[in-house]
Amino acid sequence: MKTSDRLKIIISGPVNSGKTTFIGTLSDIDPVTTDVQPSDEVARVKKSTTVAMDYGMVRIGEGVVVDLYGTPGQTRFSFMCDILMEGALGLILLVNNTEEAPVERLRDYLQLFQKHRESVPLCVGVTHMDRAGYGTLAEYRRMVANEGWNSPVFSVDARSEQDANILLTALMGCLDPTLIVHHITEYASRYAELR
Amino acid sequence: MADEMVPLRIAALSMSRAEVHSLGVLLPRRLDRTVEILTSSTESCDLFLVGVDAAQGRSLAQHLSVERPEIPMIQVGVQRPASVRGGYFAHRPLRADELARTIGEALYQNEPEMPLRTRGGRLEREYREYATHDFDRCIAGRLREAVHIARDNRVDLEIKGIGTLLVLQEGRIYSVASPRALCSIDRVTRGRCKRQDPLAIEYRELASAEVCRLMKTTQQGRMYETEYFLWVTAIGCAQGRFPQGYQPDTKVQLTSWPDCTQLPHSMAVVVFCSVFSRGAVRLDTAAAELGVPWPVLADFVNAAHAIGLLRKESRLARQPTSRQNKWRWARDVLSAVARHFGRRAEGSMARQAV
Repeated sequence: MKTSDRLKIIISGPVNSGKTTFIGTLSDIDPVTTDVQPSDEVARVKKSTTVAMDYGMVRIGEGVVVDLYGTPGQTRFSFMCDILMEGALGLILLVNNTEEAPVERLRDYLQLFQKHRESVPLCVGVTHMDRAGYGTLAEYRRMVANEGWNSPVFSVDARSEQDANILLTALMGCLDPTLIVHHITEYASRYAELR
Repeated sequence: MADEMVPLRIAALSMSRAEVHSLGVLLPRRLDRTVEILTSSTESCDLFLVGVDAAQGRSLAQHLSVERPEIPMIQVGVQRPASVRGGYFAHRPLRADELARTIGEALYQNEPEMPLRTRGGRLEREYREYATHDFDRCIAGRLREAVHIARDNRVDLEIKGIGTLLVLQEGRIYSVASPRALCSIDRVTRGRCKRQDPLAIEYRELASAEVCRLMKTTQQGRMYETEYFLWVTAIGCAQGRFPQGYQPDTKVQLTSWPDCTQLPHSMAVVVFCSVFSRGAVRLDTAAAELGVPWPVLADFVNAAHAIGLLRKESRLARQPTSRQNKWRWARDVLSAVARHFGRRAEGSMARQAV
């Protein structure tokens, strides 16, 4: 397999936002994780947390592979983001709406990836929107726009294959709309029937 | 816009490799859009370019003009053969200026008022079917008004005259009727202000205790996200018409993406959003380049207008295309990746529907 046929998508976001679950939902292999028992305040919210990275793989066929890398959620490991972003095709940011100050956490991550704004498309997935949380989608959208990104913000269930694939399709659409335009052709041809 | 959307697919037949190569380099610049040169397939192409200096090319041109009359053809040769007559012709050696002009004429068919036609001239027929409706006075427009009142004044409202319908300040709607069912209501009356606006909504503010009581007494109701409710209602009211004020030449831009995962026909919405979020796009250009009939585009425009995510004549600069250029070398791979994720999403949607 040529190295050029491997593409890389980065999944990032704060602790407990569902990055590992999201990779597990998409990956064709059992995700490779570097989870350890947390020794800091993270121990209050979860039993294990990622310290280096998560890895999953999607086989597209004919030798094309999409590598999914999850960054650690704790800020002290944020240097990993820069390492993983090298040559990335796209970036997914996940944020948990039930964690405290999620909109501000999203802002921190947007700023962390600010230097990639012109070169890498971004999609934001807000998890746990079905439960009483702190932010509304409008607030997340405003934050994304204020930080200078023109990116989709969707509510997602990290366990849902449908949501995860829609998010990735939108990411490809942000890269180049012609890549996904065939979906509209199919919809248009069945328009009368669907209505 | 053009460069960001469907490429112009030109089937170059009976032409030398050098000519094909130079077409691939020169035409995108001259036409200011993405051009795909096909040499082996004529499937779903927009234009035939056929070399007619050799007998084989001439017979191919004749065959295509009979078998595929809907696709415009430009014949290319040193001398114009007698068989071309009034058709399109470009002289060899090819000059980019002349060829670009002839391609423009062939695609527009000398109808400057028309945008680029879709395959088979479908848009030409549908252009006449372009219609608008008064969005502000349909039920979706009235609901949007109520949503703004509830949000801006931080109050919960009960809308009267359409069953129990509560517009809640936190961005949800509680309704006994489904959004689709509401679309069949063509008149919403208001008791107090009949003279001013007979179609206006009648609403009253509710205390939170009253909201709970109403929801308890009408247990057959359902809670909806406002965005979803307005989206579905707007499409239902539109009936394939655009909101007034949106003309074929109106440029629109999406200010933010809607919550596509929660909307019906998510994948189609994602495509529209990816196109309209990159910069201001004329509606006719979008319809032609995406190859969709007016009613399909009208649905999206109505829905996005209803939830306030669409802006006419954007003041924002176009997004840089550096991302696209960066990955241009891997276009085939990216197409395969996009198809894979799209198919998976559609597959899970279909499974869920079952």
